[in-house]
Amino acid sequence: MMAAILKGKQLPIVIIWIAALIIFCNYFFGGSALGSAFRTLTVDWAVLIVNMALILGSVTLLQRSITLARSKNSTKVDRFMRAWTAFLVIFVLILGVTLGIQSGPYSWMYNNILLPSWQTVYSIIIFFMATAAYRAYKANNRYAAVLLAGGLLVLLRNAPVTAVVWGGFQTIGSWVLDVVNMSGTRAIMIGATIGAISLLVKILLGRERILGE
Amino acid sequence: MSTLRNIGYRKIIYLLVLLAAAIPTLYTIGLPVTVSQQSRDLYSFIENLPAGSNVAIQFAAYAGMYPDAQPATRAGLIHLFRRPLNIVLWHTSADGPMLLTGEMRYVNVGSRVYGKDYVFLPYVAGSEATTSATATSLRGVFKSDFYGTPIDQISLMKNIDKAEDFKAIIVMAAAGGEEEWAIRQWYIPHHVPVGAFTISITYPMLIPYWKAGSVIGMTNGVLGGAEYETLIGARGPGLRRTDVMSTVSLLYVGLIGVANFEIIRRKI
Amino acid sequence: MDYSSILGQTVTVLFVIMCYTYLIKETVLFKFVEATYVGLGVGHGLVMVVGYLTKTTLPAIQAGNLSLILPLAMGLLLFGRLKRQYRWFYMYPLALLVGAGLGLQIMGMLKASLIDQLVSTMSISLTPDITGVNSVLVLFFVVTAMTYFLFTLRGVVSGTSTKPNRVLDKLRDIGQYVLMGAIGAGFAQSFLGRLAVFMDVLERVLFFIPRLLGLM
Repeated sequence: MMAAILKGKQLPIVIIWIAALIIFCNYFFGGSALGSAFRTLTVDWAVLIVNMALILGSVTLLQRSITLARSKNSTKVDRFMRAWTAFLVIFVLILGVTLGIQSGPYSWMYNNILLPSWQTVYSIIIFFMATAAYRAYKANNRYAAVLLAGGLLVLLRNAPVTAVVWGGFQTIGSWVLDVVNMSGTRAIMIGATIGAISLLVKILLGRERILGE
Repeated sequence: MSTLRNIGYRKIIYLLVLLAAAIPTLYTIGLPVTVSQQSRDLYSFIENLPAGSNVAIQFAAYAGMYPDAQPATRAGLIHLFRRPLNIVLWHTSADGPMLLTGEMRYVNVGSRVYGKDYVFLPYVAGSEATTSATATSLRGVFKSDFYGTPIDQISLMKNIDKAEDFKAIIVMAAAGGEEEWAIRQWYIPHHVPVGAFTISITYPMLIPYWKAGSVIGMTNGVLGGAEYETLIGARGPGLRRTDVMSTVSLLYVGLIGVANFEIIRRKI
Repeated sequence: MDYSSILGQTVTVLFVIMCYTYLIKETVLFKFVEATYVGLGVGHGLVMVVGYLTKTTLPAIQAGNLSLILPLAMGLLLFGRLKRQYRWFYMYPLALLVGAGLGLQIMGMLKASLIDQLVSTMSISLTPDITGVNSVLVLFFVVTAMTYFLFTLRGVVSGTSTKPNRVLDKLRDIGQYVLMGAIGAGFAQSFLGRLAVFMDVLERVLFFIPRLLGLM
């Protein structure tokens, strides 16, 4: 019976209630010393758990890489790449913990391999966006036309040369950002806030599968 | 023509993008930028902070998108260290310490003394809870500075612990919504003004907050960096890249125009 | 320039070129770069978090702050996720994170993302200048964009059927245009961001030889 209670979702929902209530009560009903202390405790615990969650993420990736590296179903190249990833995770951990992140070898690795590789992978998208601009961004209907018009006006605003050609590009582009985009974003923001409140109510009532059950 | 068809439109477009970026990189003209109101507001706020004000910097740099925020971040650090302010900086992203080391090479700290005028605190995993915890008590989150000196031994930190001890919090180079955390956990409960040196992608999402007064001002990625460099009078990577921004953006507009030429022609 | 710097920049350029082979097709070179940066990135994240725990949390516990033992233990429960039979351990620290996170978020969102936004929207100025016109436009655009999200209100209920309401449909239509414009603007901003990263990477490659020769 004890095992059923511990494995069930009732106790975690109680923890969600307690954590959320501590924060709400402290905010809405003024900070008594005890309330503030509880709130600080809750938040400090959450900070620590977030740090542990990051370790979990890394360990999960390591576990997955090792499993895939040993799997007979993938190609030799894929198995090597998975093994290489797992090796690098452990190597960097040992290097960082023993020498420190400010050491020469660690800085060298970070600045000359990690940073450029990461940024290059992110930058590849610019080429795909260019081919998409030619192939896919077509104003086939009114809504697509408005989407394209908004995008083009802001693109022209973001190109400094257009200010030299005609100042109107900057004015119109800024208007699109500060009025049209702001209105749309604001509407989404207000809707998202109402959605978040309804999500909180659903979680507190146990109607949302948030705990991976 | 058949050769071009064999090469395929994709490779032609890749080549055009490469040329549109490479030529202005090698032969720069140095086009000026129009400074936006948001950048101006942020600059004015920092410029008008009284001498001796405590400023918090949440350095949330994310390596992948950092070049977008780098010009503004560097210009912002130069501006903040140029003014007689007390600066407390901490990292909420794993890449922050390494990236900050690179940026500080360009920042002239002058006669500012570490520990007395500015302090770098270490990294803590970024989340809304972390931002709230730092607003409640920095000592609760950090026991020592980045170099391992216990916080109690740092003279600057003697009178600084919570959000109310600061005149502003500046979120730098965030790519994951840290500005909204700062608004919700520093500005709303503690009324500490929030400024942001942010990436282009998150800039539109901050405009409603700026209009509502929750954010004092923010920069718009690399373009915002060029604007801020103009304001502080220090040329850097932002102003160096205005030509490339122009050519590639115009190429992009041209490609969309060519793609829609048939549709427009049919409609006319 | 010292040898480690020369080697570093050479390795950088090699990695960049290997990565760009993806533009032709997914090559082994690209897969190698991808595996490398994932491994290094995850390792680096792990180093930073372990550093925080060993420099902040463990010294605090050793100094007598025993209240940190419980969240540390709860954090260890997260690892129950790795084995199916212990997966239920993981619910407890997650519950604390969800409760605290939601509480903190909603508390701030109510004011910053709802009340302040509504007040700012409704603060119109009726001055006959561009500011006044824009403030009225913002109010109109926000109302129409929010009408688009009213999925439960499609028309006028009459008996058992719902008749379409022309005014509501028109407002929804305008709202859709506003949202399209907003998304278009967001897309242009995202383009600028990616372009910025590309410019930085391109500079590393283009200026590699001049830097090597000491010309820059």
